[in-house]
Amino acid sequence: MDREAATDYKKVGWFCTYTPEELIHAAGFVPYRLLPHSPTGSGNVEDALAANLCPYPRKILSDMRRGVYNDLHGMVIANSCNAMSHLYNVLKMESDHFIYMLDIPRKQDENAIEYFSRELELLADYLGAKGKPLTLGRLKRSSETYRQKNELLQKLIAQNGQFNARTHFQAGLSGLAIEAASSAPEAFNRKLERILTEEQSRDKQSGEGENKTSALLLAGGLPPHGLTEMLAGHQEFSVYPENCSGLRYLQKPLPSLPKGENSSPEKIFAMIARSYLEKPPCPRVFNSQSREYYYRRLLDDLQVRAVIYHDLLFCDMCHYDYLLLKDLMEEKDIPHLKVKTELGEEDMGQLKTRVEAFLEILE
Amino acid sequence: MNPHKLFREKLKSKLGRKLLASPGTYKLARDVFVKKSSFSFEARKKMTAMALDQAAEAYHQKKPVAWTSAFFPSEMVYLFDLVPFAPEAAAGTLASLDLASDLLKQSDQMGIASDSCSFHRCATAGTALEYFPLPDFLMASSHLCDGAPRLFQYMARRYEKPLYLLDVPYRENEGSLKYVADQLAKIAHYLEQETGQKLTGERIEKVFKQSNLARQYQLEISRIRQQVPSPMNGEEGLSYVYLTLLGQGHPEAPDIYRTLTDELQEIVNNNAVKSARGDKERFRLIWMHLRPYHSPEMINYLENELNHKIVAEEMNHVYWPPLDPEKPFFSLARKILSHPGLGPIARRLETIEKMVRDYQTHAVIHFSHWGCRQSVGGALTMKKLLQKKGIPFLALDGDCIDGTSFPWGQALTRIEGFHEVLEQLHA
Repeated sequence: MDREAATDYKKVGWFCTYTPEELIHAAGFVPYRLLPHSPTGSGNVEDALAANLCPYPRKILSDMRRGVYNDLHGMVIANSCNAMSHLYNVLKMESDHFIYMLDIPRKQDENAIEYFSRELELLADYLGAKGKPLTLGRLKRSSETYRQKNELLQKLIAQNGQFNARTHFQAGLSGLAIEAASSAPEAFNRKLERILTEEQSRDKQSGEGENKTSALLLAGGLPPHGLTEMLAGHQEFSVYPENCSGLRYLQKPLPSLPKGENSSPEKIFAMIARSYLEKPPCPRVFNSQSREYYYRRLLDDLQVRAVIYHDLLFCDMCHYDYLLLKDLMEEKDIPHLKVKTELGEEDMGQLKTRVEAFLEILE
Repeated sequence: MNPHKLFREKLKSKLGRKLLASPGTYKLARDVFVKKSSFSFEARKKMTAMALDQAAEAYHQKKPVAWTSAFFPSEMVYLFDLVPFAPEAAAGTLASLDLASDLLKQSDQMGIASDSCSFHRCATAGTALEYFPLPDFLMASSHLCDGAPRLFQYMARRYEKPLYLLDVPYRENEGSLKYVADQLAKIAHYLEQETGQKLTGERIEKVFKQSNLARQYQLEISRIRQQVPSPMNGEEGLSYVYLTLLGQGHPEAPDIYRTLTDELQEIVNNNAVKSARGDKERFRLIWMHLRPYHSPEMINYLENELNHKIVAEEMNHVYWPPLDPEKPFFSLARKILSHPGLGPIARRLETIEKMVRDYQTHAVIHFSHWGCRQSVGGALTMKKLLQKKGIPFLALDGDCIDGTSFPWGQALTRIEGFHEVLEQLHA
């Protein structure tokens, strides 16, 4: 199912990958990740969002104003950065959709999990009032559906990662993550099951189970579509997107649902809170050691040959995360290219030239 | 040559870094410049001496030095008798000494994005070039600023020193109060272990008493400044932001605020505002956010050429309830979470609207420091909301640290345009 095919359902938009899709789903909505749709600029938001704010919320607002998301029923915005909180303020003033601000902790310890559990309860109450009440039964069913989805996604990644993803999704792992985040989960799970079956039988027939290409890490902020598509089409490299529309979305932990008498909404909220806060850390998380560890693991496990770092303009998280990764790349002598964009496709020509020149040197 | 000029020239020379890193420089500045210079208020003289003492103590390194981000509660530093050092405030000082441009160039070479906050770019380069005293601990808070915690993470990694990060939620509710209070208690526990000092009820009582007393005088200063004409302008008022950042809980802060209270009251009692300063209140203004530190030109033009008077600053606004020594971490959490800049913009709007009423101001000016996502990010929304309520609002684009990125001519045109609008509204 592509992104547009989900329009028969009541879609609820979300932004940050710490947003629990299970809860939106349990309220009877289809969680739909809002990603920049417009390939051109965001000139129609100059009156609302300052020019020094991240282009992601600026582009979403631009798309909203152009009617791209008229079919949405509501939105859950996460307090992931200053720019998102400003988007919330603007949308509260001018949108007819319901808009909810979800507070997400920057820490991962027990206090943070406790706090986030309580925030999820508040979100559940809100969503329940807007859609269907989040009963224990609905919570359990949605949690199980998403647990299955995460499990299937991880099986697919484990089975040759980008190599297989590229066969089924034009933009490789990024394409997989984007579709996974914007489709009705039941249908998407069935699609994943079919893909896995096909891949398993193909491996058996051909005896090939190994990806012969070198790993290229696409790190940094949310990349423009043009960049992910450009890289996914490259035959010499398997691209691993280390960003929130890539591995950090695809590699969520698989929580075990509380069963029997142990089961209660509060316990499910706690379980969801823990599983989201324990997913691969993003640059926003207040734990540079875990971020460093995660980067080291990726660089070593994937035997990364080179890195392209997408420095999203006006994103402080990206800017400082680069300094951490830069040190690691220098330590491991991994070549890298830093590119800057505002998520538009306007600069794609120049970007393509730079990326191709970099990849040619590596070849 | 004027000793101030000579000193500034020396700082720009090759010796500059050594001079800045020497405690003797700050002692000399205190003993020579502070004593011999004329200050419009004795309180400001006292505050300058306090700041120089703090800098000297930080470079002396006899007591543990804690680097703190702008909004980290400074009471936590004084509870453990640490010496605070605020890299962001240091960046402001470097800009006022005309040293920022070299540091900003250095930050570009280090790979720091040029669209980042220039306070942080300057501080990052200052760290790399060892302009700053070595930290024993680093403490940063997430509220209002996305960049500061990242900057502190970078610096803690560079110095391999403990970093205590305070995650401040968006909302103020029972859960967020507990979350912040628990974190503060944990930080206090770590500091007890690191410094070997037990945090006693007596110490809490003392530091909170200082903080509360300072708060009480701040409220009194606000009350006096609400009078028409107001006895203090923005050039003066904005300098006290230093105490907002590093003075809360400091033993000298109450005396500085008390001195200022007395001085302002005396001006009002003697009806000296008009006679001493002339009619400099054509329009009364609220100033939002910070000011350019690289040049006094903008504020001077507003206040001295156009006769506007900044009678209140957002950064000096007392928004928090008194601290309760019986519930130290909970009450510090409440103070942090009650910041109007947190949460939906309606909170900030409500605060500014109340200030407009209380201070009887004609308009609001927001200094839009380019790299600040939090304050500048909300300026357009604030403008819409304030204008709906009939409150004229001007967002002045600029940069607090980098004097080269925003030409003064553009700001001047906007200020003059705004002045004309106000003249028409109040013709």
